Parts: sequence; structure tokens; C-alpha cells
Amino acid sequence: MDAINIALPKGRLLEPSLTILRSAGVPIPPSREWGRAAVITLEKASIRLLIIRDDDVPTYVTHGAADLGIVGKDVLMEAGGEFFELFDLKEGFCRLVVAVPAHLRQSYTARRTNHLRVVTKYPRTSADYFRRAEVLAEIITVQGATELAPRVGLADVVVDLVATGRTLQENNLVEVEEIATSTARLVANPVSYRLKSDRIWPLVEKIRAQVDGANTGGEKECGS
Amino acid sequence: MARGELLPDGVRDYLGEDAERHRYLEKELSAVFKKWGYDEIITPCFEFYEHLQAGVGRRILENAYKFCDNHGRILALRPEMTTPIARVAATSLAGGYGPWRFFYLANVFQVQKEGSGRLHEFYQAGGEILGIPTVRADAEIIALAIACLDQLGITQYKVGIGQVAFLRSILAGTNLTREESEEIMHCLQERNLVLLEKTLRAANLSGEERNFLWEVLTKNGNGSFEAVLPNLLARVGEQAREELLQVEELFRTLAAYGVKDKIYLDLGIVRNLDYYTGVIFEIYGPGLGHPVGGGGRYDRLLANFGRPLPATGFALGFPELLDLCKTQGTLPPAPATDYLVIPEPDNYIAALLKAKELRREGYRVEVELRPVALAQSLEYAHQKGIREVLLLAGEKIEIIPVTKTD
Repeated sequence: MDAINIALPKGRLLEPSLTILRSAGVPIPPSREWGRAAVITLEKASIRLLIIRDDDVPTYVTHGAADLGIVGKDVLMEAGGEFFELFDLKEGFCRLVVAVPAHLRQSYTARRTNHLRVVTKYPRTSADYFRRAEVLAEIITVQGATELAPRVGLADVVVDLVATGRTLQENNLVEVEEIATSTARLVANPVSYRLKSDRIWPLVEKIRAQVDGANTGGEKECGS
Repeated sequence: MARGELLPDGVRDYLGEDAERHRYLEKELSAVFKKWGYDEIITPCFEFYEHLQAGVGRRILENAYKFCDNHGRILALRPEMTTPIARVAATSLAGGYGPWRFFYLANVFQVQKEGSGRLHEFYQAGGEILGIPTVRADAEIIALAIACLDQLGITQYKVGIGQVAFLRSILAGTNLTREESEEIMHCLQERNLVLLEKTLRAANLSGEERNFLWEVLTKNGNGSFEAVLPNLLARVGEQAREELLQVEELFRTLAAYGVKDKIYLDLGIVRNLDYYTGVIFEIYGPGLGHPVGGGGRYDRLLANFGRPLPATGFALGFPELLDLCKTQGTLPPAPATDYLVIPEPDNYIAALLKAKELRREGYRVEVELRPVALAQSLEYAHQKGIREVLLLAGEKIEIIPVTKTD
């Protein structure tokens, strides 16, 4: 039996991903047993877990280094690449929004028609969004702490991920537009999807049963 | 100039072993095509942008290299070969209805996504049959693609076969609006099953229809055709039934070609070019992140050039073929010179004659051009992987084998 490589993202989605896989019958030992290892080989199940940076998951899956991957939709949109988006795991809900300093909220609509300077960790997604919205936007890419940018005059507008909205509030920013919502997705390499479908689909169905069971009390549609 | 700036993104040089392998693919593949009666076709690297647009549609051309000629007309480097061949066939072939069989070995150009690791200029081998509307042509094209892989000693791969006309028919046979059907095809092209599921749920479909579509669009991977077919035939309308029966005939014909164990039905395959109208297929190799190649029927493309002719064809990518050759096929050894002939200081002519004689016998021969000590010649031979050095001395020839320890 061919081994299946599954790429999992470090960070906030790791534990929920492991929980879902375990509930779908993947025999993953408790985290304390493998600690900081990047590769966990599950000999009997013929599965290898690769624990990598979340924004590397699309890359691993696109190139076939991983057959399957779990990663946030926000990361997928930003990375692009070639993979099948198989299933919405409905974990790690958050939203990608446009936010401005509170005092600029009133003038935002007027400013939006002209030219926006946008600071973001999501340059591709932001550029796509504003292009489709027919807004001329200048995108400035940063790696973190987007919310600081307006305070120091780097830009007036930020595009960032919001889970609770607290960070925005603490930095006196208000949301003015929602670009997208994001949850964790199960993705597959296009060739693995075809060649290893006899292994991938049963796993997807088990995961689906768990996730749908948890979310809608067992309602099942499409692909039962 | 920094070395990294010597070449634009996504292009490369082929030296030594790489060039040898490139030519090896060309030689082996053109031999297969010729055995099957295909004529080679060579078209220009660049053409008028609007002609290419008539073929591949906007999405592929967004990633084409475009530029202007000195009259200000927009040109583009060909992003694929089917459209140029359609143009030639529609406009330059003498009357009649064919069939015509063409093959090509050509470089094509597509701007790839940054960080994708894919070349912007890459080589393809492909074949096309023009003028035959029936499944026999589709079967020949698929069998020929398989013959190409066989020729290279590649044995581990699967050919997934789909039928876009069938997909469109079953979508049209439901309550789906035109927009919803387009959205569903779009989801398949984008490989977004999450959005596909959402679209199916939102549409005005019965639970049964919804499940049926979901199964057909996603679950035929590795499906046994015989097992799936009766169930499908029983559930679809007249038009879809006919298209499915074509697929059945295709499978029977391919079984007669002896390639049954290589093919499987996968109706979720849509390919990323808009011109396909019927049977389509993709070839997958283990360890490769994307298909080795694929193709299908494009019966409306030639009409864009004023001559409606049915057609079907395929292309294989050189980089992907080479990757598969490395893991499971055969590759020629690195090019190695057989002999380095070292002349006597005052008898250069004798060395040339010796070299000429050896070349006539089919050996690769180099003649030492430098007036250097033997040790230096041996070092050169060693570096280049030359097997033996011939040291001329009057009537005598000393053969010095070049070994690692030299």
C-alpha cells in the first residue's frame, strides 16, 4: 500500500486538525509523544504526517510532496497553486476584512473611489479583491503586526484576518468591508486525487461524517 | 551582470547530458509518431495574438508572452500547439475531408506562477487527427499517447478518461440554470469541491439528482467502467446516453489495443482549456505533482478559422516525461567521447587520419589540440569522461585507459 503524506499546519489549526484526523480513525499518538518532530510516521496506517508552516502547505500539496493537506482558506487564497479543495472542515473560523482607523470611517466610502494605500499580509488576495471592486489600491506587504501600520502612517487601510475583533478594537480600527470568510480546508494534490482516490475518499468520508455530525446533528447531503 | 540576471524567468539552457536527453526524447517519440503514419508539422514560435485567442480562449492567453511587431500588431508566443495546427489545417490543407494526422515536437511558452518551479518555455510532443468525428480517432489518439510512454520504457501510469459533452448534457438535463451549470464546470476546472458542493446544495435539485451529480463529478476515480456504466446509462437522458455509449465504445476499442489495464473512467476530468467538446483524458504518473499530459476532442475549434472539421489530439510534456524516465524508464547514458587522440609533436596529420578512421567506425573521437604534457591531456580526458586516450608514436599506438585514479 502506497503511503499517504498529509501536510498539517503548525499553529492554531494543528490541534483541531489532529483531533479531526483522530476522530476519523487515523491512529495519531498523543502530541507529547512526538513533541517537536516534523515528520510522524504511522507505520500501520501507512500514513506520514508532515508538520510544516501553514503557508507551506499549499506548496507541498501542489508539488505532490504531500498528497493531502489541511490549511486555512485564507492561506489557500493567498498562495494559489494547483490542488483539489476537497472539504470544509469548519474549524478555525475567521474573516478577512478591510479596516480603517475609527476617525476615517465616515470618509472611507469617498476615499475608496480614488486611491487606497493598503497594508496587508495578504497582498494577492487584497489586490484581487480591490481589482474586482474596481478600486485603485496600492498594496504594501508586511509580515506581521498589520494593525500598527495606520498609527505610524504606513497606510490608512489594512486588510487582515479577524477572529474576535479584539485586536482591531485595541488599535482603534473599525471594519468597513469583509473580503472573505475562512475555515480550515482539506486539500489534495491533483494527481494523488486521481491515483490514490481509493485511499483518499474513504478518509474524506470519515472526516465528513465527523464534521457534519458535530455541526448539524448528522444531516447528510451530497456524497453520503 | 549577476549570474541570476543572465536569463529571464523560467527559461534554461540544455547542456551535455540534458541536451542529450532532450534529443533522445525527440528521436524516440518522432519514431513512434512516424510508425503510426503521422506527418511532422513545424509552425512559427509566434503568431498574431487574435488567432491564438480564437483557439485557447482568454484564460490561457493571459499567461502568454505578448509583444508588438514593427507595424504595431499584437503578437504572442504560442502557449500550446493545438491552435496553430488548427489554423494551418483550416487554412492551408488542400480540399477534402481528410483525415490528416500530424505530430509536433515543439517549445511552447506560458508565464507560470512565481515560485511554481515550472518552466515558462518547455517542450511538448503531441499528435492530432483532423477530419474524423468518431470514437476510433479518440481511441487511436489515446493508444498513441500510451505508445509514446511505452517507447520510453515508462510503465507506471494511469490514463483517466472523461467526456465533457456528457457532463454538459447531464447538467442540461436538470433544473439547473445556465449560470449554475457554468458555475459547476468552473468549480471542476478550479478543482474546488467545497464550492461545488455548495453550488449543488443551493441549486433547485432533488436530493437524488444532487447525489447523482456529486457521485458522477467526484467519485469515478479508479472506477471500474463495467461496474459504473449500467447504472449511469439507466439514469441519464437521450443525449447523455449517446455520449456515454461513445465512451463505452472507446473503452472496448482501447481494450482491443491491449491497453485496458492503463485506463479508467473519471467523468470529473475537465482539463483547463475551453476548446474541448467530447472525450478528454489525462495521464498521471506516480511521484509527479501534475499530469504528464493529456488531450481530447475539439470539434469546434477549426470552425473558428473558417473550416469546420472534427479533431482530436494530445500533448505530453518533456519535463514530466523526463521525470518519469528517471524513476522508471530508460535514459541514454551521459554523452561520452570514446577516444582522445594525442598526436606526436611533429605528426599531427597521423592523428587526424586515425581520428577519421575511428569516426568512420562509429566512435566519438576528439583530437588533442593543445601542445601540453600527457598528464594534462589525461586530466582533460578524465574530466570529460573519455574512456581511452590514444597516444600516437610513429607506427605504434599506445592505448591508455582513463580511470578514476588517473
